[in-house]
Amino acid sequence: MKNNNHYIITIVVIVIIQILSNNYLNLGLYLYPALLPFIILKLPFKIRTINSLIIAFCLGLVTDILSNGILGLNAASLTFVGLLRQPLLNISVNQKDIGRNELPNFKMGIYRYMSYLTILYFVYLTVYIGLDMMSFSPISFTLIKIICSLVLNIILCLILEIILYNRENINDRLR
Amino acid sequence: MHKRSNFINFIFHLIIFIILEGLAIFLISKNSIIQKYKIMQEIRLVQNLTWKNQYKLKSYFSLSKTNQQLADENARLRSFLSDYQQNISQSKIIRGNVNAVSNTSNNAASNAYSDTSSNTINKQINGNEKPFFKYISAEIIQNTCNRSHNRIIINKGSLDGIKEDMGVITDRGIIGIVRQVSKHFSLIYSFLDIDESVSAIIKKTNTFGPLVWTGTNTKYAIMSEIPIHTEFSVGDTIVSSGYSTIYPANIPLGTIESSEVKDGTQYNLKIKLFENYSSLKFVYVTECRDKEEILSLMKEKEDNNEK
Repeated sequence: MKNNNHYIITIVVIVIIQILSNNYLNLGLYLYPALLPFIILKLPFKIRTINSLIIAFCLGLVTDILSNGILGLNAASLTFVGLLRQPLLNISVNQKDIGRNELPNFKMGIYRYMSYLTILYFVYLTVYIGLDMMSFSPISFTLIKIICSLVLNIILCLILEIILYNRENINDRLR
Repeated sequence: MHKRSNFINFIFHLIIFIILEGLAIFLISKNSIIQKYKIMQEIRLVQNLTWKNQYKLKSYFSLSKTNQQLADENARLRSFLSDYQQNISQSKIIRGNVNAVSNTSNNAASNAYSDTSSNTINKQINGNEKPFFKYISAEIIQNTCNRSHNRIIINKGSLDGIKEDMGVITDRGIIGIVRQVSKHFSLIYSFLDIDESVSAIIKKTNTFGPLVWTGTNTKYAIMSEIPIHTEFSVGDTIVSSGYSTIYPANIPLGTIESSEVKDGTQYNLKIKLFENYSSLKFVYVTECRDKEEILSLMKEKEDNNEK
């Protein structure tokens, strides 16, 4: 129960931070901090694709409504993450772990978890930036923007991971 | 069973994803002018592509109808052309006569004759006079090329104005002659019949002779009875002579492939035909407007000779 409350509060806090960053934080053209995908990729293993799709869409929509940006942009991008989450987990995690109430974390293996993180963030950022600009040209600018944002967001994810969930586990893994 | 349920799940997830994604993109397009413009641009592109393909598909399936319409139009144009050519030649004759009259008689008589003749010309040009040849387009529904006496059946019959002894042509050759007519169909004795012949001329010299199918190859025919003094060369064009009431003149038939001297007095020319008889689809049935008048005239002449 405590864990559940903690989980829900975490989600709400992340959404609020995302809304505030969308409205007040400007890191320039090349950097877009996105915390919403972190919520989706940290959904428990047992959450199925249909649920993750709906959660992703709703979270994105709420953020869009409360942000200054284009309505539907986060929803469209996050829905992609919601669709791809389960297939990626199926590849990365043992099938017996899928039904558990655990969250994806470094226990999956650092490389697997980082790949999972990177791929989902890459998809999210590609869709988000693509829809925002409505084109990928100039391709060099778009690529640099995606890569810079990807690096920033992975760093942010690792920081959140350490703060919120797995401080002890990461220390164990890194030793 | 497991695989099947996985597949069904996959489809289900995909449908939900498409619905949600569609909703999100709809919201985007509703709330941003640039995105709306770009999305509409992409939608228009897809629409255009779809319409283009639909049009292509529709055109493909209506090709038969289009061909029929074109064939009908060609037939009409041929009739007009025949009419026009006849008018031109007649007007030349009449003008020649007018000049002759004006040179020999007084002005009043000349003017009267001139008025009459110009009225005739105008009448003909305005279409009150019938064209010399009438054309009816038809589609071939059965055709043989592998016999000594080949036959063709077309989809037009007596109800469409087809009569026996009408000619059948295309723009690339003579196809045959109508021999039997039912209400909706007609039987044609093909040019590819060793017993059939058509009157042809060498276009360059106007030398005429009968053209008969060789009986062995659908691409070749023999033009005989060409006087030995006739000048021609390989590649010269052979056209129909128009010396009959069946076929119009100047239908291109083929080119001279080779020649051989026969009996020391005449040439037999091997003609490579333009028309590919094995792939015929649309033809024109020709009817000479003045056929009965010409035939009765010839009959009168024959009767007089007998007397």
